[in-house]
Amino acid sequence: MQNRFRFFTAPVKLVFRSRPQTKKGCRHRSTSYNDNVAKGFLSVLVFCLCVTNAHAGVAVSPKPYVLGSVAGFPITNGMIYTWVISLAIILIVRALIRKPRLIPTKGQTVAETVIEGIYNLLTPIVGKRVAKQAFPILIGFFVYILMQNWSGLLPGVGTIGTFKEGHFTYFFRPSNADLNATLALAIVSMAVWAWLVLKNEGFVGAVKHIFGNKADRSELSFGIYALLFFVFLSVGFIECISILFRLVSLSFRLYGNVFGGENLINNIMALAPWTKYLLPVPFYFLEILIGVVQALVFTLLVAVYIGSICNHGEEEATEGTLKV
Amino acid sequence: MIGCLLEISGNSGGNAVTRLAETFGVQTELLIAQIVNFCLVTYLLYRFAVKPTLKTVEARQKKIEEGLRFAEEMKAKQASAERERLEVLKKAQADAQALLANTKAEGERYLAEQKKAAEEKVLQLTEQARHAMEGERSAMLKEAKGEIVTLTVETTERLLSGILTDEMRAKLNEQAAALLAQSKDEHGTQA
Repeated sequence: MQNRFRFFTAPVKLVFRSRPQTKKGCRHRSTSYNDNVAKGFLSVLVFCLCVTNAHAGVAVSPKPYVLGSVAGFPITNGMIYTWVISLAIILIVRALIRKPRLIPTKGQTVAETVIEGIYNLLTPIVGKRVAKQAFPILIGFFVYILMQNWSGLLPGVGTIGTFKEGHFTYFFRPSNADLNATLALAIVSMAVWAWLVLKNEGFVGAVKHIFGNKADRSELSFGIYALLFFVFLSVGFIECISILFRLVSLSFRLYGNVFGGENLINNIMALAPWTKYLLPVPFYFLEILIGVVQALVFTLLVAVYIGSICNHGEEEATEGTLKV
Repeated sequence: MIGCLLEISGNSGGNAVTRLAETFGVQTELLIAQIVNFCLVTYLLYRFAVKPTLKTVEARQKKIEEGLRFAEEMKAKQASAERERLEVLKKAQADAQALLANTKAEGERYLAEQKKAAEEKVLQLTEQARHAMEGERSAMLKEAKGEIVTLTVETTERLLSGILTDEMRAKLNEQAAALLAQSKDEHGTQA
């Protein structure tokens, strides 16, 4: 009896089980633990296939459903799922790290690897000095977007809900398949960008950077150098437009990818009655990959935007020198 | 989504941004809620996960650096101690050699002194013994001579008592006395 449900219970066990016992001083995971991880992962996929997309074939709505309101504030399915996943992020990360120790636990090792990896990736882009200021928000972007992207693959998303006037209204919608969420992330990222630019370069410095003549005066004649002022001024205006459009590009890129992924899986399942069982598996893996890539792209783009003005390249980025 | 965008772009009526917002369900309240939500999650994530982790990583790096530095210091100290030990050992060996040589020289000198003193003592004793022997010999000779003279005199006296007259006897005694006195003088001079 217990075996029949192991595919469903394995992921639960994986999350809540006690840490595997290892010999003192031995850092290797036991084979059974690795097996359980693999089983848990596969069981999540199978469970997703069995439970999700009861309404395959119906196109995913481009906007979240308003399920109700509290004091005039609309509560959407995207909002509810955002809260659920936000809580899950905090709990999972806290469970991984607990109280950090000098000799790390397995969970802490995972968290440290991610944090150090992101830090070492971003430091050369934004510059060592600005990295300390930008890192908290950038790591927040990465973890938040990654978890929200992957959360769209969990069972129950788009399947648990009610019928209202013959229309199925589901309770859980992936956060990044809601333009409100991706636009919010873009707004925060641009606000942080503006704050970091003004803090590190100042208003005049930023204006100089955008509109200023970047040519070397010693290598050019005065005529050409003066002419370049107009060229750089024009380029500055174009850059201003591109800066404003970052809000659109950041938000729609993420939204489009996640929303597209939802539609893709939905439609794959609706191809034929039998396609919902195995055919979507490769697309689930694809969505897992896209989740990571999009989280990384968003984070890196914000880092590049910050670094393009704040990083002067005078500092050598040193790997492995994390400072709080 | 593309259909939505085409519909929005193709629709001449109304503001495109407003229609876009309507199509994708963008609402100010939801936008603010999402911003607040993200900021809250990021703050909590940084405050309770990233920051402590970074501190731990930093502390670990510091500890590792200290450990490596300590190991280097210990290595240097060990090398220094080894060098000092070898120097002390070398010095001790040199001192021991010098002491040994000194002791050997002292011993030889002492031996030579003792030998010389013993030889002197032997010579002195030999001389003393020789003197003593000579004294005893001369005393014996003197005694023997005295006895021989006495015996000779007594024998002569006994032999001559019947033959010699008183006059001859007196003359003989005088001659004998003179001889004795002479011999006594010679003996005294020799002594």
